[in-house]
Amino acid sequence: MKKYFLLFLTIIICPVLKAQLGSIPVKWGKFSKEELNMKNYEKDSSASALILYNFGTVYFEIYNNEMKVVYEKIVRIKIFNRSGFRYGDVEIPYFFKNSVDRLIELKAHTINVNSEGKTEESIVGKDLIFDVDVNGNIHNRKFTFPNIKEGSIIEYTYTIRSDNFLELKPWYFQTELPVAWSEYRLKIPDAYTYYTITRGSKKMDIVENGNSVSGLQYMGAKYDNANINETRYVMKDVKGLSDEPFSIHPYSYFSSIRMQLNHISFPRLNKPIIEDWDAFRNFVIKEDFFGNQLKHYSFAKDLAEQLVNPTDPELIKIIKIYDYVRKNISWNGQHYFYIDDLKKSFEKKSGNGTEVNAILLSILREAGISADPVLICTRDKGVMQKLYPLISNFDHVIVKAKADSSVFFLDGIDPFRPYSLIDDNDLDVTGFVCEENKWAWTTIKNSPISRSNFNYNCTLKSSGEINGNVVYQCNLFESINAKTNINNHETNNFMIDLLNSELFKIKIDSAKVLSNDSAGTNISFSSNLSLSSSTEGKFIYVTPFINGDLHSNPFDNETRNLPVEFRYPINKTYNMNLILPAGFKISSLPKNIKITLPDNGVAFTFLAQGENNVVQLKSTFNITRTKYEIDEYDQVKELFSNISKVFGQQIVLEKE
Amino acid sequence: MTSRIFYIFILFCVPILQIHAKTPDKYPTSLIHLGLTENADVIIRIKNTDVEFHNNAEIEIHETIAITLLNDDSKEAGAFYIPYDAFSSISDITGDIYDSDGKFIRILKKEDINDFSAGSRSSIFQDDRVKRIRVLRKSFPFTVEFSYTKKISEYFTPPKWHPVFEPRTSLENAKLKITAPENILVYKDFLSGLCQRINKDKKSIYNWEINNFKAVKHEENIPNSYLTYPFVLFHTGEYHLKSIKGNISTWSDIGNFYYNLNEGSDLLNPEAQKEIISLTENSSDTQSKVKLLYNWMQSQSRYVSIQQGIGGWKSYDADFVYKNKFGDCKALVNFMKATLLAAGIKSYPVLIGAGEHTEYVNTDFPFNYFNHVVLSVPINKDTTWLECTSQHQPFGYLGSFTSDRNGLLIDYDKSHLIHTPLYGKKENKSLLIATINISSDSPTKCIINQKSFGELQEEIRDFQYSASTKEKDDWIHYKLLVSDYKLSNYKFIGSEKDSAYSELEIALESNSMCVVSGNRLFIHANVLKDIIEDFPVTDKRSFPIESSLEATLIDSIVIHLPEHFVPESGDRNEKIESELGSFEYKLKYNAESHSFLLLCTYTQVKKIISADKYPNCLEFKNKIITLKNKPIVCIRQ
Repeated sequence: MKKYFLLFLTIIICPVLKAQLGSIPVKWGKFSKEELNMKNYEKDSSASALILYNFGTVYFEIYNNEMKVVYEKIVRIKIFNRSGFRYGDVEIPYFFKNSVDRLIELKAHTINVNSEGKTEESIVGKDLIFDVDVNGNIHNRKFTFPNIKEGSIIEYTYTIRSDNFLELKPWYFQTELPVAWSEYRLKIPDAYTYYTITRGSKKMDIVENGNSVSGLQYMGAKYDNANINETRYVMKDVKGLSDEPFSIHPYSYFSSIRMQLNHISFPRLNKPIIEDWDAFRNFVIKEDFFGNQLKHYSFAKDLAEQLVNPTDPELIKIIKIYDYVRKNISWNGQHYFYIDDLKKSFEKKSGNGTEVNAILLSILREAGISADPVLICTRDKGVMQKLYPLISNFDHVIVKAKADSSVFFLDGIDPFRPYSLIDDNDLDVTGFVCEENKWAWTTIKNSPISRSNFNYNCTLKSSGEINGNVVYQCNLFESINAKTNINNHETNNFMIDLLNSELFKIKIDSAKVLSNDSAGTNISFSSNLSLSSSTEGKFIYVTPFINGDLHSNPFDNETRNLPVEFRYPINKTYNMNLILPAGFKISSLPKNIKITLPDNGVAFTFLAQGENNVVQLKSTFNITRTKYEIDEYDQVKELFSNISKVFGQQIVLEKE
Repeated sequence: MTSRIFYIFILFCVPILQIHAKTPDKYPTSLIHLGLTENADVIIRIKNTDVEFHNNAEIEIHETIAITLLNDDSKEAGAFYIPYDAFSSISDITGDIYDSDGKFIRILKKEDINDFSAGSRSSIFQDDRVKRIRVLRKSFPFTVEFSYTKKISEYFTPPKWHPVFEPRTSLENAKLKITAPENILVYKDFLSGLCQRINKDKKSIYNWEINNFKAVKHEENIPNSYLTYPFVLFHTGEYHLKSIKGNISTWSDIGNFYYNLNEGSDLLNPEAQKEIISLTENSSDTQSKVKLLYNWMQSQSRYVSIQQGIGGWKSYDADFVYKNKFGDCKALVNFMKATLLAAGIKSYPVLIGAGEHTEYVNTDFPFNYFNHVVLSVPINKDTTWLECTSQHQPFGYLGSFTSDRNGLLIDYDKSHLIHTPLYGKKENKSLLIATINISSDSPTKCIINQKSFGELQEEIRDFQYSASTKEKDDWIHYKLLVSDYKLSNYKFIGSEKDSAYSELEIALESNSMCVVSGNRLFIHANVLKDIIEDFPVTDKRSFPIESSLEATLIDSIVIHLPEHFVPESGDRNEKIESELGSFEYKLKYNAESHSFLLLCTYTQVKKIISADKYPNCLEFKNKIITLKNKPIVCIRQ
């Protein structure tokens, strides 16, 4: 079970060759007694609905004298209770622009069993199927099922006829809902070779191969009796996956299958499409959506001249250009491996991640810096697989720049992040470097540890009132947070959010920024604070109020389905000097404690000591390893559970 | 080749020539009053709105707007949205962008204007659309100036004029000019300047102007946030739709509009009528019939948002809902009305402004202030209120989103404002009983039972009836204040279909609730998050704050102590009070049973509290939280 979620990357080769695939598991409108009477899903009784069948077929067809890829799909869902009613609202996205996709033959109906045990069908009327323009490129076909009750079966089917041969639509065997039977059938002519990549933890339950014969057409030439390779992939009883604390989106872990065109071979035409990484490099470097746009631009040349002196050392040149881009080009919040029109992006001063960094790259090159694009798959999107160059695996491009003998990775999408720090979404990812005439793999290395430092100096009065001040310093990723936040809020409100917890309420006053290193990442704040502790009889009880952010265990679930991922390595320190009121002595202090994971990847210490009239608290919290697999979850949960106990204790003072 | 170079040359020159033809510098930021930049991300430099009611009833609006974006946070507030639908069109959007010195940068381009559906994700379909003008630049400040024309052919009420309607936005100068056929315009204005009016060529021209409206900070729970900003509501006393037209001068007129639009849609087919009659055969009194049919409607329907047609005002036929078992608020109210009608019971839709805070309805100025509809059923001398969009709402209970406000009861020629019921401290109650068993050698066991009534049970009820198991689990984790625990089980029990009551029971074990340190035992008895935590925490406040819920909460917690531990201090009794309410904390040790009884009583009033009292209220809330979180200390004997 270790490395539960390792990618399974395989070329699926025909295990058994037989002429015909197994029979089709689901027929529109035909329901078994078990389906109709099912009360819950045995394998997951908490499921509010179950996808009984998700069945898709892909085949190639001549339509109006043109070859098309056709997708047919049937989805059948059993609704168990009211919280499953939401699955009755359906949205089918398709590529609308230039009629790349045509969505046709959409049918949907609800099936109920009435009190006499007879089935009743309610059809979704044509006037209740809507088409919504999402952004010009993508449209959504939307509808809602009528007559949904607990126990209903809802079923819909549609066909998409598409012009996109390069990448077939991916198939997700796994979803937020559990799936009893998910099947994808591919009927692909011999002449087209697709590379198949499967992903996720679960193995296929059925893989079958077969063949048949059909007519084809390519570049105007007709081929009768073409051999069609048929493949069938089935997964049964796939469990539902949804969000968990400290995880990336479960989408990146869904079991899925993707296919990209590798080779075309017709009698008079034998053409590799994207067979290997060399071909991939040559492909993307020529395409309009990427390489073709990485050329000379007058804007880049002008800027290079304006921004840097020819005599500047290379690193200074890089910093000046990087600073210009991060402060002047807005990132629109999207990650796509796609450049629409780089000159337009520059004129608009905004673009997606790839466009922003392509602008950076162009200016760097015009300034004579050796710089290359690095294609990556961001952490939020999933993991890079090196086995086969799947275009859809990439969603971002960053820049590798050389200054003298040093190499820097640059990502200009964040106005608050200096050149020395990469975006935390690019950390530890594998990158594909497109160099002049060659390519190479690289790893975007882990950054140094981000630090957060809290220093409290407080005085306790005999009434229980605590007054004092706090200085907060941070750097690297921790400071990006702080810098972004003070831009949005007032400093007092930022400190209120930072220092408070459910356990205690600290009042903040006169918060201010002490220093803000705009070229680097260091930032520091100070503020006055006050809070009250409780007095009872001759005792004062003080909650150790320094690190309230750790008082509660964020891992409250007993089981875990996704790996635990912390964003970046961190080192937090908390120090407090608490001056006691005259006439009070220390009766007891919280226990000193040191807790670590077996591998020391996460560690916590808490130290309380008293001397004369001062109590000193010192606490540290470190994360050096950022990812923990599912089988390590119990350790992580237990660590945070032990940390939370510290906050149950008090500093107890007694009147002399 | 030459032609191409020439072409490029032209492309580059046009804007430059254009700007030199215009005034050289526009909207330099140096001319902004310093007072206007305070608390502001965005400054509306000018907003000139020119509205003309043509004789053919078409409305034509020309608007010129200049917005200066001061910093990176202006991205959203600096975006400008122009709504339109099948009955209106937008044309001639043109504009220029200027830098902070007022130097021309470039013209507004197609890429700066997006066109998309106004529908929210929760909406299955909405036929209205919106054009968004948004310029993304990183060098601040800069100014976007643009103008457009909007033509409205059919309408119920003309658009409101809200020249600024966002926090952190200042307004330098705004003018509204309305031209209408003589003496027919009626309006309600809420701004500092007065309306100037002239009559000319059988037309009346009205002018308003506002100068230097200072940005307000974003603050939560502002009462009647509508009145925080200047606005003008206006109409000509008429609505114009292809099929229907009529007056909208009085509440009765507005009621008639809704009545006429939906007339006849409340007739169910004979088969459905038969079913309804047979359902109610055995009930004799009206009240029980209504209740039975309400529960039947809930079991028959599902709320789905579909907004289509004139501002989404026309409802689907009752037969549509009967057949498809779903509808939006209008369709479901109409279906319920038809159902009652089939049983011979008359009922009336009531238009309402729904939301946690009471929406602005000016009783003296009839207008469309509404976004929702409920049903009122007169039974004898009482009124029974039915919320039809929820499948688990108790019978006769409206809830916090529609209670205590003015709505418009729809009755042909007799439509009038009506006030919905108020739920007060008698209705809104919570009683929490918990038992904490501490043992010296095993985890602390805790059982919590919470009974909630009125508005305090709404959240629990929603989770009970419409959340998935995972959502319920997550919500329980969110509600529990215990820092580390193992959930033994939880259940929603005893909540009745017909009363605003629900009950939640949680059993858990925890090592962190009670911690032994040295000779002491620290007990943390604050187990469940409640409304006391719901209070905006901020630095200073400039607006009054609305407490929108009147309620009583009682926590009664019994703590059984392990052997050898006794209380370190004596019993405790504290009471604190504020504008917002009162809180009492009583801790009593019972030596016989070797246990504590902790009794906390919290009452909260529904009222608007002035900004200067806010710090006191915050102090009050903080004191309560400190008291409730304070561990109870025992010492080893």
